Amino acid sequence: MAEAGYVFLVLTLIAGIVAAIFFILGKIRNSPILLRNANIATIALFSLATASILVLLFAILGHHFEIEYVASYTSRSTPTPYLISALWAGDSGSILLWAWVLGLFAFLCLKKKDPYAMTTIMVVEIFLFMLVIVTNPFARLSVPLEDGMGINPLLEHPAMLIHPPAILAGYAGVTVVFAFAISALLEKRFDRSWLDKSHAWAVLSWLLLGAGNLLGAWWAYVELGWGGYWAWDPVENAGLMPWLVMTAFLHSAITSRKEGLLNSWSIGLAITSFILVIFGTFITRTDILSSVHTFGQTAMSNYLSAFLIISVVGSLVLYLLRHKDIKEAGTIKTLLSKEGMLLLTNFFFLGSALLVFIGTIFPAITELITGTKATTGAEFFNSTSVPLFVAIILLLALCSLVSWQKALSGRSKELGIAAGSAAIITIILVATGIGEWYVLTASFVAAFALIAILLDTFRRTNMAKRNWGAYVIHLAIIIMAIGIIGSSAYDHYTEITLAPGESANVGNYTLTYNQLELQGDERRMIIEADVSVLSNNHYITTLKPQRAVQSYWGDWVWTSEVAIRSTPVEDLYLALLDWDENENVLIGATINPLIMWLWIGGSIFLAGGLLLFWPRKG
Amino acid sequence: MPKKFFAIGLLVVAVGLLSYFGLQQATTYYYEISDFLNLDPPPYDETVRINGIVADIKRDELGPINFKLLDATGKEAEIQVIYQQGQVPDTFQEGTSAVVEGVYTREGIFEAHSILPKCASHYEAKE
Repeated sequence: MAEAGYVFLVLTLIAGIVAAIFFILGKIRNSPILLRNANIATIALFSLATASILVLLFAILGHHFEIEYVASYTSRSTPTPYLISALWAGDSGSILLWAWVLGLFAFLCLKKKDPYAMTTIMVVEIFLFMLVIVTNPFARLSVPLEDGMGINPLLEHPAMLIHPPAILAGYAGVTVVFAFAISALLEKRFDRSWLDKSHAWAVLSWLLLGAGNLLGAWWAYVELGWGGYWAWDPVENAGLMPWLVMTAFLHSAITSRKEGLLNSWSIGLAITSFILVIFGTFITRTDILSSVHTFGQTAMSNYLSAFLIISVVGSLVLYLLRHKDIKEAGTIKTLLSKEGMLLLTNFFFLGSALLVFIGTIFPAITELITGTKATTGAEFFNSTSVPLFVAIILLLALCSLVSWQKALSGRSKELGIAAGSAAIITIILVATGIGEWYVLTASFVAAFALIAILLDTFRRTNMAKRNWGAYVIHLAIIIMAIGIIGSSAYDHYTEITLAPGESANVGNYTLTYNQLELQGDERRMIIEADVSVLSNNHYITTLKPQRAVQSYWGDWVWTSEVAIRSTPVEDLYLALLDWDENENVLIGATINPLIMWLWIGGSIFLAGGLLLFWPRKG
Repeated sequence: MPKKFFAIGLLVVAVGLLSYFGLQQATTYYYEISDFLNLDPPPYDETVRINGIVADIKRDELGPINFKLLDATGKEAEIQVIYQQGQVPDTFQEGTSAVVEGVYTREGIFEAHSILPKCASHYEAKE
C-alpha cells in the first residue's frame, strides 16, 4: 500500500512536468495538439494526485501503522473525524492536501484556456509534489507498530477539521490568481480579461483564508484555555498576511475592472499575495524565526527557501520588465472619489500587511545586523495595526458616500447624520465612564461607519443580490471590530482560590464552587469543578471547567476544557488551573466584553462572502 | 510617473514611522537558553525572552507555576522559572519548547510574566 502511494506521487510529479512543458510549448508554437495533450496531462495529474491522497486516507482509516505518518498522527482509538484530519496534521500531509486542491483548481481552470497561467500552476504543482516526495508521507517504519501515537489532544476540536483545509485551499486559490497575473505579464495582455478570469478564485481564496483565520482564532479561544484568541504568532501572521494583501487586491481589482485604473497595482498585489503564501509556508517550517509555532526544521526547508527565492526574483524581474507596458485608463484625480478611496484602502491594507511582515521577520533582521535576536511582542502589532484598521473603517464609511470619479458631493446630509449620531454614541460612552481615547476613537469610527453604511443601503433599494455581499461583509467587519475593541481593551483576568462551598466575586458575578468531580474512560481522565454562577443574587448557570489528562507520545498531556458563558455583553470564561487533596481549586476567570460580536461578525462575514457568488443575472 | 513614486514613498515612510515607534516600545531581546547563560554578566532585571525546553512543571499549593527551562540536550543549561499568573495555554507541556518572557533575578530565578509555548501544529518526539 505504501509503495502504491509513493508511486502515485512520483507519477503525479511526472504528469505535472509533462503538463508544464506541453502548455508552454503549445503556447509558443501555437499548437492545438500539444495544448490538448497538456489538458490530458492536467487531468492525469489531478487523477493521480487524487489517487495518492486516497491511498493515504485509506492507510489512515485502515490503521496501517507500518507507515510512519499514520503511526505518528493516529491511533486505534482516534475518533473517525480526527482520523480524516490526520491527513493534514503532519508536514507532508498538509502540503499534499494543498497540492491536491491546486490540482483540482487546475482541472477547473482548463476551460479558461490560458496556457501561461496553466504553466505557472503546474510549476507550483511540480514544486509542491517535490516537497511531498522529499518528506514522503508513505515512508515505512523499520519496525511496524501495533498502535499509533494518536492525535495531539489539542487538535481534537471541530475547528481543526475545517481550519487547516480552509487555509490550504485559500493558498491554492491565491496560487491560481497569481498564475493569471503572471500570464497577463507574459502575454502583455493588460486589459481586464485576466481579472475576469481570476475574479471568482480571488474571492474564493480570500473567503477561505478569512474563514481559516477566524476558525483558528476561535479554536485558540475555546481550546487553548488562555482567554485570548490571537497571539500574533508567526503562524497566525502567515495566514493573516496573504488575507490582508488579497483584501487589497480585491479592492484594487474592482477599480481595474470598472475604471481601468490601478492595473499595475492589481498585478503587483496578486504577486505579493502568492509570495506571502510561500513565505508563510517557509517560515512555519524552519527555525529562522524561532517561532513558537512551527513544524520544526524539516527536510523541506531548503526546497522552500529555494522556491521562495525563485518566485520572488522571477516574478519581480518579470514585473519590472513589463511594468512600463501596463496601460492605465487615466489617473486618479482626487482621493475623495471612489477610486481614490479604493487606492487608499489598498495602501492601508498593504501597509498593515507590511507592518505584520516587519514584526514577523524582526528577530531574523536583528540577528543579521546585531548578532542577537530581538523580538517584538503583541504590543508592536497592536500599536501599529490598530491605527491602520481604524483608518480602514473610516474609509469604509466615507467610501459608501462617494461615487466614481466624483469628489464627495451631494451627500453631506448623510455624512452629517452619520457623524452626528456617532458623536452622540461616543458621548454616551463617555457618560458611562469609558475614558480611554483610543477606545472612544475606535467606537466613534465604528459607529460612524455602521450608520453611514446603513444609510447608503437604505438608499439603494434595487441592488443586485451579489452586490449585497460587499455591504454585508463591510457591516460584518465593523461588527467584528466592535468585538475586537471590547475584548482587547477591557478584558479582565483574575485568579481565585476556593474551598468547596466557598464563593468569590468576579466582575458582576458571584462564583460558588460546589465540588470537584472525577470522570474518565480508557482514553482520558477528566477533573471537573462544578461552579454556580450568580449575578445580582440570581442564579444564572452552572459552569464546569475541566482539566483532562491523556497519554500522548509517552507523556501525560494536560489540556483544559474551559467553560464559557457567552452573552452579547460579555463572556465569562473559566479555566480550572489547579486543585489540591482537600479539593480546593484555583480557577482562572476572564471577563471578555463584547467578544461574542467577533464570532457573530465572523459568521456574517462568511454569509456575505457566499452572497458574492450569487449568479449574475442573464 | 512621479505621482506613483510619491504615493509609494508616502506608504514606506508611514510604515517606517509606525514600525519605528512600535519597535521602540516593544522590543525584547531573545536568546536560546544556552546563549543566555553564557552572557557575562547576565542582563539582570531587564525584560528578555528565552527559548528552551520545559521540564518539571510544579505548582506551589494552588499558587504560581514553577518549572525548569532546559537546553535541547537537557543537560547543559538549566534555569528555574517561576510564573505567578497561573493561566497558560494548553500547549505548555513538559518536553515541548516554550519562550518565556520576564526578568532574570540576581538569585538566579527567572520570573516570567508571560509564557509562549510552541503551538500545537504537532509535536515531534524529543530524542
